[in-house]
Amino acid sequence: MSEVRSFTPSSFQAFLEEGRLMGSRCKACGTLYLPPRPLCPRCGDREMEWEELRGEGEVKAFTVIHVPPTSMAGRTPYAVAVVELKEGPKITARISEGQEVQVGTKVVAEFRKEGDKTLLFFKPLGPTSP
Amino acid sequence: MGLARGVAVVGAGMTRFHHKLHLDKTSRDLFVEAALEALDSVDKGMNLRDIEALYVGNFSSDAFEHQGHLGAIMADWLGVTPVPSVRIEDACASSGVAIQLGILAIASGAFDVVMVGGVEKMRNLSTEEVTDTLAMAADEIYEASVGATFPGLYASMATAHFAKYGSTWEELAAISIKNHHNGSLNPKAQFQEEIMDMARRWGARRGYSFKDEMEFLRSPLNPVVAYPLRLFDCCPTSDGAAVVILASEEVAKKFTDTPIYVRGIGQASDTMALHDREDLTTLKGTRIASRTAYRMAGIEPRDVDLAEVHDCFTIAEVLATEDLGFFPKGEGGKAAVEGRTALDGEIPVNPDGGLKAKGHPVGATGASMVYEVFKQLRGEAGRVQVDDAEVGLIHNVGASGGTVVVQIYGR
Repeated sequence: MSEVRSFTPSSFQAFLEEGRLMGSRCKACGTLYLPPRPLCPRCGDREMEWEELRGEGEVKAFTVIHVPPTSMAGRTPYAVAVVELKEGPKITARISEGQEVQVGTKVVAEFRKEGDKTLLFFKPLGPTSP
Repeated sequence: MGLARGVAVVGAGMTRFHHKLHLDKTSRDLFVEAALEALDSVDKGMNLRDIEALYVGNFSSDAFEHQGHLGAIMADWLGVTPVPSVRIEDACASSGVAIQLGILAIASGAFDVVMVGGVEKMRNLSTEEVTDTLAMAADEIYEASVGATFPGLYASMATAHFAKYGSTWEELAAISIKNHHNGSLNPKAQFQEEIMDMARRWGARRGYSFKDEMEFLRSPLNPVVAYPLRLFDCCPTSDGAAVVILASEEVAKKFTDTPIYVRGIGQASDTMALHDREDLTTLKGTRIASRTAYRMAGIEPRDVDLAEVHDCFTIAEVLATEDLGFFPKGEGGKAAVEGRTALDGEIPVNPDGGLKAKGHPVGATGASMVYEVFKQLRGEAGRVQVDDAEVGLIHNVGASGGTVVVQIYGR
């Protein structure tokens, strides 16, 4: 993959707009970061490359927000989860509305337009046995 | 590793923390009130002219009061100009960090007497505006804008902890009940009322009656804020200030015969976003900062007689008592249920009521913990006095653990 975009939140967002979940991988030690980072906290190297993640993962922690920030007023309750992707890194995202989750629920990424912005969501695939 | 020279606390003061009492005051009024109480608490007397530097912990006077540059304002209104003054912002750990820096400044030999405190004036904004302002302490791009709130981040840690260790919400409730009990005995606390008394009062107003605390805590009068955390799992928002006076070991006895000495300090940072942490059920910053402080003090967790820990949410007290090494991972909640962290337990935690009942004017919280430890170790803690308290620990956390400060004090 030879993407030349800088490893910034705006690049991450631009990829979301294209329906792609993109992280950065350290060329030196191989650690994968999502959201992408411009340098590797693990080994200190600065050579990173873009890598697309498949979007399949598992809920590691979640909550259901009943008292929202002003930006989400009138849209409660909604679930937010920390999802661990199959490739390793974790990210925080909303769970698609009306979907029940538990720690351990398998999920898959969805890209949804809200206003003029594409947001990352995760859709549950059903609970897993522990 | 240790301090280049000894540092002691020689005075401490704080306003009552409250949600209504201070609505007509500004942060400068509150800070000056706490500072003067701290000065007046110095046994052999102290003059404002003795203060050589001023450190002010504050999270967000900019958003709360449209006022920046708090270091200079407090120096000005206290009448200590032209001493160096500085404002320190590290979210809810602001004044814990301020005290850390005050200790280091004295240990360096630069000053002999410094005043360090914290203040927050939160209650003049609406609840929604306060929630938005507090959310600035999270990762704005990758957490807050996704819809995660502070209660939500700690609630996520709770669901991860429940799943990993089989801990329960009922264990969290025990922490809230204990901290309200302690707060009911503390004249500086925002809520000086047992949960059962609140249940009776609120119930009477709305036509409910409850046989015990748990029935009340499971009822609609204790609504879910961010599942699994309910209202009584969350600390309140508050106005207040707390100030301590630090002195070098050399001059401390000039001010009091019973200074309280800094035995160990530790501080750590961690990833801003919760999702970037390997283990969602532990605050690594707490583990690292406390191990540093224990090593400097030459003690083990079991040597601590009382601990002031950062219970912004009930789950945070569970994580703290585990990560500080008081209990094995997964057993912090059970320990509270069994009364092991009660005032008369083996390790009293948050004798002043904690953030839950004492209140949480965020920038003032760390300093208020040191205020309580100062009182406890001098035997001046009134109805929440812990017997034979010789070693006290404070644990102050910024946001979801991006900053953690631990300090150990001894007689």
